[in-house]
Amino acid sequence: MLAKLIKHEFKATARIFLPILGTVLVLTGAAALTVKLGGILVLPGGTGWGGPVLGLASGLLCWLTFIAMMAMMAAAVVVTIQRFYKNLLGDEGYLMFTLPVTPAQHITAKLAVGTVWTLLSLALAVLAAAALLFSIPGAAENGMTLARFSAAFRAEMGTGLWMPAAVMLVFFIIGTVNTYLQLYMCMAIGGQWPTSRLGASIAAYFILNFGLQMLTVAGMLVSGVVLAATGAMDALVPVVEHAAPAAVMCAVMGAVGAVLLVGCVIYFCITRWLLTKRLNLA
Amino acid sequence: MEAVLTCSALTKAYGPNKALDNFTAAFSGGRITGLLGPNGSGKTTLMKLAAGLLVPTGGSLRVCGQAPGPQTKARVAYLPERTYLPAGLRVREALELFCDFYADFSREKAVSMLADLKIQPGDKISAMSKGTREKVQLVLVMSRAAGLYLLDEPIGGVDPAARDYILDTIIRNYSEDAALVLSTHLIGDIEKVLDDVVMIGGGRLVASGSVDELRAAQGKSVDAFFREVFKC
Repeated sequence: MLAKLIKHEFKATARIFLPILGTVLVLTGAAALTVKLGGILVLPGGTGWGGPVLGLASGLLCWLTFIAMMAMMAAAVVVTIQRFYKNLLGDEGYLMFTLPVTPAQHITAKLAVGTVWTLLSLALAVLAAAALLFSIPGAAENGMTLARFSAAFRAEMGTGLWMPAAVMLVFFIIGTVNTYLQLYMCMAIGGQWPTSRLGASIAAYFILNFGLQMLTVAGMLVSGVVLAATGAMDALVPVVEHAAPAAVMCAVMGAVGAVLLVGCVIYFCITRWLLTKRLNLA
Repeated sequence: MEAVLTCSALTKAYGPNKALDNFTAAFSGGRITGLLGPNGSGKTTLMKLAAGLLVPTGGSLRVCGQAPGPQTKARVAYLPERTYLPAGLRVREALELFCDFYADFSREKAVSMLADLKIQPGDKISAMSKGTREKVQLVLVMSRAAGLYLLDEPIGGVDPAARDYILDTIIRNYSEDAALVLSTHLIGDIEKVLDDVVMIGGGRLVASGSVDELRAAQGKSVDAFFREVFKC
């Protein structure tokens, strides 16, 4: 049943995303082409038949591509939020919650599809940026610069560039899942007030994040005091100093990632409980 | 026939207000039961509880012997008062959705009923009037061979000609072993199709029994009895 839910969720969201992704692809292709042609045809000093026209066209297309990329990333977040709010907590909830599936499956399907579209949007934005970058005259030299930077990074950090890239990707996925689950929970809390659901959801989001920030500051203060008082800080400093920079980075990112994952579990469980025991459709 | 839906001391409270208060009743298979009561009497709450959209505050509710959950939802065909089909959907996608999730859904039956209404599979829900959307929902629900049909105010807010069509669609298409619960306060229009009635007021059971027995005992129609019981 989960696979079927995911299938229908993909179909419903593809109606919105595919035109946006297609627009970004077309604009990127056109922008890269005009930039490339401009590099070939325009003579030094701006003379040449294509100079002013291609210059204007490539500038305009690059700007439009950037706007489309931003719109694509924003749409991924907005549509993911809107799908949960409208499809589960609005009138459509009467259809969705009478399907023979569990609330946990509903949350999982929405989360999985929203995360995939967000990742696809990010991947497309990176590819579009790379396509534009490598269409600039002298792109081969840029590639060489990247290779030199990669070699220097390896010599300093003891690992290739792939490692921070992989860590950032994993972190992006966990962060995206955490953000969406937090938003789902806030909407499920807001759903307890059917007559002012939107306002209650926004209020829940701000109150939760204010609380989390207070908790983080308090946690940092307390752990700093405890580490200093117990002498653990003195024992920790030499360990960090002698460890490989990549290992330190992984340890820090791993700890933050673990905290985010715990948050994911808590948000998921609360949302599931609210949708199971306290569902309150208008 | 065995009871398909049983409610025992069922209570649902929203804060201090009790929408259902110690409500006990049974709805048998093979019978069309009218769930009758004035506005705000708890009819919709009872249907939502049976459909698994709400959780009781107290008492118990069983559908085909089971507490509401994914298993009972597979056996319950619920038509709410609201139009619930996503506006971006086309009719064929709504059919696919029901095919995918309900093993008892007959696509052929649905397509045939939709064709009678001159609704094409390619038609978009957003382009339909509210009345047409309600008819599509009714077709989807009545194309299932469910164990329990819960129809919440299916004839509320529609013209008399549409009422006849809706009642005719219900009578011709429901599975005969199933229990069909039809909530309304427009009793005069549905009295002729009912086997049993359950009257509810203020969340409590007021009266229940077969339509024939009620008429014989009271010496009046169900509609007249309803007007007497719930006189303002």
